[in-house]
Amino acid sequence: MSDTNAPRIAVGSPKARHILGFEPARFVAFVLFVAVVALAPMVVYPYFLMRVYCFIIFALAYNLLLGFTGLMSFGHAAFFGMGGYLCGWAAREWGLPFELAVLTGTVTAGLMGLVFGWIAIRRTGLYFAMITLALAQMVYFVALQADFTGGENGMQRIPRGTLLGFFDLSDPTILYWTIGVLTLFSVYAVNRIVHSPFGQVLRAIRENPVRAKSLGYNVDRYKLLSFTISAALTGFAASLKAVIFGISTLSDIDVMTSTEVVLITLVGGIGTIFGSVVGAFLILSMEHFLAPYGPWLLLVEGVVFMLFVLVFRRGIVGGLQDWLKRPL
Amino acid sequence: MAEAILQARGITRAFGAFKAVDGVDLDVREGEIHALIGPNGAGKTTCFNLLTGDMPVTAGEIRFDGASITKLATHEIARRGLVRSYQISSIFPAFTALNNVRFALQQQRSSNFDFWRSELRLERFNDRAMELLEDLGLAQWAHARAGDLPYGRKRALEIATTLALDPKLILLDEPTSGMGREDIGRVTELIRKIAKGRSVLMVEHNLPVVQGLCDRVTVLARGRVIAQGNYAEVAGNDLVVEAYLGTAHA
Ligand SMILES: Nc1ncnc2c1ncn2[C@@H]1O[C@H](COP(=O)(O)OP(=O)(O)OP(=O)(O)O)[C@@H](O)[C@H]1O
Ligand SMILES: [Mg+2]
Repeated sequence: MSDTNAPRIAVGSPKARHILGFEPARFVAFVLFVAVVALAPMVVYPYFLMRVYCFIIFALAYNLLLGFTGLMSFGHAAFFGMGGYLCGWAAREWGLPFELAVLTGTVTAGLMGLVFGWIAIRRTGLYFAMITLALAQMVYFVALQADFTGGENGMQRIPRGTLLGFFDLSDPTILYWTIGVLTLFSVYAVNRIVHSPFGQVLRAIRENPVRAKSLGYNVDRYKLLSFTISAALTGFAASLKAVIFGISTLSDIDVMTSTEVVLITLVGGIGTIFGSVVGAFLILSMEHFLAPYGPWLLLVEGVVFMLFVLVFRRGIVGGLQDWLKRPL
Repeated sequence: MAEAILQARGITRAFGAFKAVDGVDLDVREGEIHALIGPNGAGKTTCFNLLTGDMPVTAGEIRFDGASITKLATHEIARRGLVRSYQISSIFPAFTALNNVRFALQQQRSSNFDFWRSELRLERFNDRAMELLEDLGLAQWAHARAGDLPYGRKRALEIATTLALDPKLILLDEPTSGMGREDIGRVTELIRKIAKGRSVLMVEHNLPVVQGLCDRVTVLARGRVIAQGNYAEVAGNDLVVEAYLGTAHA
């Protein structure tokens, strides 16, 4: 992998003390984010915030794969879509409680990730991305044809249920805090994974897969586990979204959703933790404000994409972390 | 006579109709430093790729430490104790030098799939990693970003990571290339040191280094072995002289 594109802060620089597993600068960012989650609903429509939070989790999942393992997937919409459908189905048809419905969506996406990954890791680079895209298109076809997804109408009337059998999630405040806390926990968990012995191997694979292999690491197995975790976390994000809005639709499983998460990750910063947060806020805000202008949104998104690929390749948080010389 | 730790029999690698390695037999004896030499494009690096499983053989058989490794994957071969360094230095540029070596040491853990643990538990490898860096004169760069090291230091770093696995047989692909005279002297000494208790197979263009260091020499030209023996035997061989000086020796 080209050296010029690698992060400028060396992995393993002498450690300042970690707080909750975060480097100090990242911990500051985390505290800021906690404050945003706590205060934002006073000024911003909570359902918009919850939507953003789902995409933050989705982007964290995607960044684990792209930013920390060096694998580019164009198929994550399949995990997002199916995760949402299965969570919805479990809640509505099987009458499973909130926790188990979300678990169903998460595990479904994780198993799909295992299969996708098992097929795709035989190739690298562009071919890897193409295989994930092709598999996702097949899943889209299934979703379009199958009855259980509700086809063009989507899967509707997904019940919210209760949290721990006690807190009624149809209460918007309880729902908001549940989603907010789960989002903060996801940030914590992904940071933890990145800073585990496993995460160290993933980063080495991103840097130089050939050398990782020749030092005795079974690179394919690590890639596969990373892919599976990423897919499962994507399913988790989608499950929350299905519960919040009571609906799962074809647009969640559409290839546009895959490109959306790529865009969020790119704008925020590939290989950063808080890039997923900043990216999701920016892109979803942009979509929100441009929605009334229809196809113009696509044009603007295209321009943003190009701008970041050509000029700000490190992304907003990536650029900030280079400037501060601290991981964010 | 010592047992051959590595035995290659008739190993061949074809790229289309062209055979980069063509029926090579090679024995590396335990405890020896063995040189693989030959003109550019002779197939030396390709030979290494076959031995370490980086490329599958088209034909032939490879045995290492008493068992066939012909069909094993690279990482399995490495875990049996056959580890290489690459001709174009292969490091983890975004890691510190220390973390490069520590990553190699981390391989000894029984499992590295523990994504829920903190990487702080890898700090127990720091002392050993530092020792290896010191051995290669890299101590002052321990916390530098590996990608920012000067060329010769990157090569030294790669050798340090290779040694970190404590291999039985080390394959070094031109360990001294691109180094100044002083560094060459240091690396030569180092190879002599690390060869105690293990075996080394090295590609080397610098013939004085080969002469001073290696117990046996195998000469490769156009994918075939044209001579084998100690340095004096090989240096006197007509075919070798011809291969090195060109074909105008008819
Ligand atoms: N992947 C490949 N595909 C096609 N041809 C290859 C490949 N790898 C090597 N070759 C060819 O095989 C021949 C041997 O190459 P190799 O790199 O093994 O030579 P070498 O002895 O290591 O040379 P040098 O001293 O220049 O490093 C060359 O002609 C090279 O072009
Ligand atoms: Mg070579």
